[in-house]
Amino acid sequence: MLGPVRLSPGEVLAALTGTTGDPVHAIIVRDLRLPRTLLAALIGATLGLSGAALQGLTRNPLADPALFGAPQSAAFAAVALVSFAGFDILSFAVPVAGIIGALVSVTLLFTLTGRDAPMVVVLLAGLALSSLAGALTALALNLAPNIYAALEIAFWLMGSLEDRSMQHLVLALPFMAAGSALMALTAPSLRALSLGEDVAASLGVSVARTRALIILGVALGVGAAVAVAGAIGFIGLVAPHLVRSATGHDPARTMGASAIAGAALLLAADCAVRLAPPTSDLKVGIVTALIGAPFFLALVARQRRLLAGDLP
Amino acid sequence: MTARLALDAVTIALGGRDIVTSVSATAHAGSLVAVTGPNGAGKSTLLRALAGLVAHRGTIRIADRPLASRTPQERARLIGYLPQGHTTHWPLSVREIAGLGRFAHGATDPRRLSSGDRARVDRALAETGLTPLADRQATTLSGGERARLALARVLVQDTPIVLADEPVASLDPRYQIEVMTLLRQMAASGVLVVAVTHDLIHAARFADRVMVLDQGRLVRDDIPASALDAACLATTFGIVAGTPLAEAALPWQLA
Repeated sequence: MLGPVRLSPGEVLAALTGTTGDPVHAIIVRDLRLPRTLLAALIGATLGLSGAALQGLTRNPLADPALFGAPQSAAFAAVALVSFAGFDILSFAVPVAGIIGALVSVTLLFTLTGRDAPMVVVLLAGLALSSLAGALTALALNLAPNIYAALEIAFWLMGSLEDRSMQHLVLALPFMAAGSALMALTAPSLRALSLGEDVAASLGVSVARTRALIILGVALGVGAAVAVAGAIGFIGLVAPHLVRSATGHDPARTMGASAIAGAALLLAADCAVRLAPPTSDLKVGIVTALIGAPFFLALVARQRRLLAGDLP
Repeated sequence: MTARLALDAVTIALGGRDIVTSVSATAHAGSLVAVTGPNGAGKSTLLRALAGLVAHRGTIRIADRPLASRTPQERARLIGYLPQGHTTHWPLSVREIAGLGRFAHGATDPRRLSSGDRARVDRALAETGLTPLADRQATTLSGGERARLALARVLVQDTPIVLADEPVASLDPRYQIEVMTLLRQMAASGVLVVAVTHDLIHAARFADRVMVLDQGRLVRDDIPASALDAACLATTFGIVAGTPLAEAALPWQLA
């Protein structure tokens, strides 16, 4: 577990097992680095799984919770709750607000675009929704009652795993676990959906149920993740693409592999942040966006034909 | 003999407009029924309703039970549906796509099929001429190969009723005859095949019965020679046949 204080793997192990003689090591490893590492892995896995589920559902390789405005909406809901309703940042109400924010945005997106919508329509609707949520959050920043509240909001905008404790983990874990379980339930249906909604329905899949489970699962997972770590984008977009050739493009196998890839990605991004000079105060959400946005552009370039509606 | 498929006053509305109006008909096991009619007559919509994909008024009965009372899983074991346009969204292999036909029977992972299911997939690939392409990615197939793959997937589904929307539309002449012959053989083995087609010559040559839809109404439902007579061709299609269709053989045969 990396960080500004150099610890050998042996020292880390000793601190973890409680056999270290150095109380500072124990605090660094157990109270600072362990929760942060666990959170990075869990949030990364949730985002990777959400991306794979959304890509499978929409059969759109450019689908991602962030491109659908889910984390931005969750962040706005959390910001509104904490800055204006005066809730404590560690209250269970924060993830619940985040979940509702994400649920509203993803439901709106699917309602607005309708079934079998072309990718370009879904992406544009997602862009509009995330811009709206971003603008509302900026408005909250404008109206923030004090500078402390403004800083809190900035944290949600940028996404960060700094100074997270086991309490944050306890707050987010049940929701992320429930959301992941809901998404995992849909794995076989996503396979049938490779052939389109009509054929999937004719094979016995309830497309409406699959859609509802994934929307709810993404909202639970992303809403809870945002509540404790802010808006971390692009993990859900990138992770499925990293594993797809290894899983043979099977949408069901891609889900589990994408969760693992998402965990690895966010851990790596967070390690980069930890090793950056402390004065820079780099946020992990910025790192994932710096990696993810060019990746998205490259994908768009590769999928130009598909985006133009010229489906194979 | 009870009808495998019975329609009683079936009306289908899309966006507030009746696309299919009060169609009543029956169809029996072991027959090939062609559904034809001009563009916009409601053929595909009727087929989608038979597949349980759009809501209908009136009653559609399958083996004497209303379609609406069947669970999606029961429907999947009774009705194979072959839509128009054969989209595959991920580059899965030909064998996997065909194997998805077993999904209806609970085998949801085409990479882990039982040996019996695998044999069924192999047989369907052979019947549709796809054995040499079994390991190719389906997204790299030509339009005609995709159409045959879609048919292979329906064969693997092994249902007593097959609904096919324009099954030969994108095929070259040889595979048009091969696919129609295959549908004919399925009917001979006891399957009820309902095929929407624009090709009146195929309808006349291969079907046991022809249903003609015009502006959502069933205007003919008879053996091909009677259904596609000169009066029907003139009023419904606005065409005149050089020779009576019943006598018009395809100008070519399989080599």
